[in-house]
Amino acid sequence: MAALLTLAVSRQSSILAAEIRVNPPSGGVAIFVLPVPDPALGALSAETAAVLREAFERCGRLAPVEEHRLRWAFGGARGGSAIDVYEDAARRLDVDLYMVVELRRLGESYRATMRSIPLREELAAMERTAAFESRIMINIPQKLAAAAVMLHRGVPVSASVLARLDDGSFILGAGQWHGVGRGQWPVSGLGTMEILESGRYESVARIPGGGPGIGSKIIIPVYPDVRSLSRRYETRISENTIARYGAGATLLKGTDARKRYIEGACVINPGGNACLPVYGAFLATGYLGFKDHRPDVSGLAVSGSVLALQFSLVPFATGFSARFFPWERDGDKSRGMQRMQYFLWASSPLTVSAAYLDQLAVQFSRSGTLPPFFEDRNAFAALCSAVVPGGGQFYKARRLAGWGFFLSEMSLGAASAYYFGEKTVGGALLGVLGAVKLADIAAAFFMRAGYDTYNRETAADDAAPVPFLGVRESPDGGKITMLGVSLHY
Amino acid sequence: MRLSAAVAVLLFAAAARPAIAARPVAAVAGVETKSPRGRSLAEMFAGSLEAALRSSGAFDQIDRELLADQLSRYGCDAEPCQIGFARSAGVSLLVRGKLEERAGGLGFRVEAYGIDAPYFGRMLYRYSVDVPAGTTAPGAKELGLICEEHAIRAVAGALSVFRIPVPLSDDGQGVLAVSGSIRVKAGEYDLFRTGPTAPTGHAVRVDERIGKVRIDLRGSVTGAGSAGPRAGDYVLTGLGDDAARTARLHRARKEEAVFQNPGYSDAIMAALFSVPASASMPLMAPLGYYRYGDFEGLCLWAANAAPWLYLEASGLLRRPSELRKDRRDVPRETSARYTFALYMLGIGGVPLFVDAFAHRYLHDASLYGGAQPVVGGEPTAVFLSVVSGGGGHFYKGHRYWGYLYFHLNNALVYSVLREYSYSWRYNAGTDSYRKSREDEGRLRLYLGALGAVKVIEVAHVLLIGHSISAGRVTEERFSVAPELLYDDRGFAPALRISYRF
Repeated sequence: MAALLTLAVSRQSSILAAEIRVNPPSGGVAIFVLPVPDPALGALSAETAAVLREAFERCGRLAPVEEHRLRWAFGGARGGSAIDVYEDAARRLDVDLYMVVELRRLGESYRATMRSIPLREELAAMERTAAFESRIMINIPQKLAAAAVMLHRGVPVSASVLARLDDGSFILGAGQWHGVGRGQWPVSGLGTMEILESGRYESVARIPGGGPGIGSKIIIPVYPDVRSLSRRYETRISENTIARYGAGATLLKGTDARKRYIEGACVINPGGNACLPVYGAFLATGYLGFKDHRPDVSGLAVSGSVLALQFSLVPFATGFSARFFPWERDGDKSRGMQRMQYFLWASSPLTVSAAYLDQLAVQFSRSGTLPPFFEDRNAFAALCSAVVPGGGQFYKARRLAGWGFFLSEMSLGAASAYYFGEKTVGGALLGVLGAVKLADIAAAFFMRAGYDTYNRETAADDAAPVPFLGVRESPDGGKITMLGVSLHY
Repeated sequence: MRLSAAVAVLLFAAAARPAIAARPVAAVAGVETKSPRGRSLAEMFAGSLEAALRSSGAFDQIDRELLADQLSRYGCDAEPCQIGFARSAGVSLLVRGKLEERAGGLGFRVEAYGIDAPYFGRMLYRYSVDVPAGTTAPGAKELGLICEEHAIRAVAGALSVFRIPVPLSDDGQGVLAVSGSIRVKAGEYDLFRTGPTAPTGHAVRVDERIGKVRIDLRGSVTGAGSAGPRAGDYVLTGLGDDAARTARLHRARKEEAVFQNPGYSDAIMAALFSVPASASMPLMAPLGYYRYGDFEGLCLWAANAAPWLYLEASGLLRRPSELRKDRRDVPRETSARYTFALYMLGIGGVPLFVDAFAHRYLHDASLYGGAQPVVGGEPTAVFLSVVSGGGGHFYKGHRYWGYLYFHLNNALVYSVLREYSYSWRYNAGTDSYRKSREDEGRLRLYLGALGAVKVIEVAHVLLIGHSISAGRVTEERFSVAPELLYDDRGFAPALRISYRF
């Protein structure tokens, strides 16, 4: 009743911050999103504030200040510049940290600048300025939230002693919200603390020897799981990006893009290659709705060379004396040679499939769209690699790695077929082939996709160094082969 | 004063009926949503939560609209403020919801807080479900039904764990009994004594568990052991029975609405079509998965069916009669494979045929996409479980259980057939065959195991319901999942049991 009374009375005059606090877990965090005249950005501001509040709530360290308290603080804030006004408002609210977010529109993209300024010395590590850009409006709040979550890395529970009880125990300003509950907890500098009962924001606790006095801070070395919390926002960003750039939303609106992809790979591409070997792989990509698509000549050259080699290797190796068809054996064609020829002929569909996937990687990259099944990209890439050598790498637009695995596996396969009769060599070759295949599948699963459209949106703010290898087109029409390490900072 | 009016209005609803004062009070503090589009849906969901709480019959409720008006008027939209409000207003259970509209679909979240002892404001239950965005967006009617379903499930879940303190009072003749109108079942309970009251402004206190008491059907304390109860002590009791009953009733109603004609006629149809379905499974199942865009099902089918299809093909291509025609020995393995191939043709392929189609029908049923034919019949599920491995589980939409029983069943059937089959040795001298068989001990063992698996499978399929939950529940209070952990010593398999708060 008392709390409600306070609420109702304070409505009559101006609401005082201290009056409407209900068991505050801390001084909290004030989130200021700068006002913008653009109505669309206005809606984005509201969503940004809400998502950031949720992020701080989930971390359980700094409780976000409610909106009406922010308004109250602004009412009396004074300062020379805009930043001074925010700092003054934050000090009036007696918060531990405040955050100022500015949103802007830059042509087709949106830009957010976030400054987090701690007002308590022990939170100095949370000071940060960061900028985020996205072409997808709804990704901006998610990116800011992921960054806000990462600010909490290594931030322990810092709780005040709120009151002392007669039996030596005390009321501690930390509870379930902070991630602590009944039981024994280590306390920095004080040994062990027993929490006898806990509520959402408060607990009754006891420390042998009495513990500190009212107002003292107790540090419990319990840390928020920032990785899994930020992964939640990264997943949202990924979902939004796929919803915006996925083939189903761009190239193949109104149709089931996944079915078209499967039909393209299993029906259109083999048919196209039967009519026009290799070039048919490029023509088949048109089935997925690309506008003004152009073939990638280097990819066609590689796949054409491989296909030609598959049919001509045995005739060349025997000086054109052996019969052309694999099922026809003569004195010039040894049993090993015949086995290898069977393998080479039988694996030609894999070559045209690799050519198709390679051309698709180019077309998706050029059109700035994402292939179907991208929401399950890792599993699907592994499946592609299990079926087509290097298929997963092509699916993830890592063409060089794709051709590397393809050529390795095909060469090992041909050699294994040739030496199949010789137990030691044949067995060793098969073993190596199996190992390369497993590496191919694993790499396809774990490798990051090479689509710039996707990576631009999802680049993690604090990602570890990532090695990369790839080929891209230069603006003057040539090719740039890239090998390096990318590091976000 | 405006406040007096506000409190009076808020508590008016809780004082409208004679027995109300002694019943716990529950409140729905609205459903939060970030998008303007989601507001009407959030309102619908909040209404469903309120109705679900009301139908549990356990609480008096504060009028939701009035409460929402008061909370928004005083800017009390954050969790600490609402918990503080609930405490002031004498609310025992506070329910907050959240609705998220995402690219991937809709997310419904419900959080329940216990305000009194033993929770002191703690969140006691969290329910979270993702309803995926399908190819066609559900209409307003379907969304209303989805809201209702999840509201009922969330409330039933919250009440299943919610405990409320019921104080003991003296009837004036020295007999202690539970007071108020809360029904307390007869039985043994932990007895608690209220601890020292916390200083003003703090809500948490330490209550002492002083022993156990026995309470009879009339609510009187009949046995106290060493507890020494006195008036004012309390026991904790649950209120989940009615809510669980409501949830069961809702599920039965949903089954009635989304299944067209579940009954014996479907089971007879299944029996009639089982042989052609089984024989055509290698072709029809992948087409079925593809037709309905169930690529996960297609991948699972390819991986799981491959070894058994290989055995089937090998049995049909290398028939014993062909070998005998050529006067060659017929190994027992060959005979067994041939018989197994006949089994797969006749009935063994049925489960995968069922999965290819039932999964889609159940998916449509789960999102209230009209009355679905063929699926939903208990007799059909039992029939499929009896005659095939995992057929009933696939039919009810439990794919992973289905594959478990499918493999187990096939392995045992093949083992039985292998032990049962004869090997035929050709004797060139007499131009005749001599048949022989291994000892029958292992045959009996495999037959016994197959029988036991069948009994378990049928019992299991009878115990589980049809998989028609609208969306996937991602968070409840407890979850159990297998996990692979990695540390410096390598990978270690583990079982994760998590408790969310």
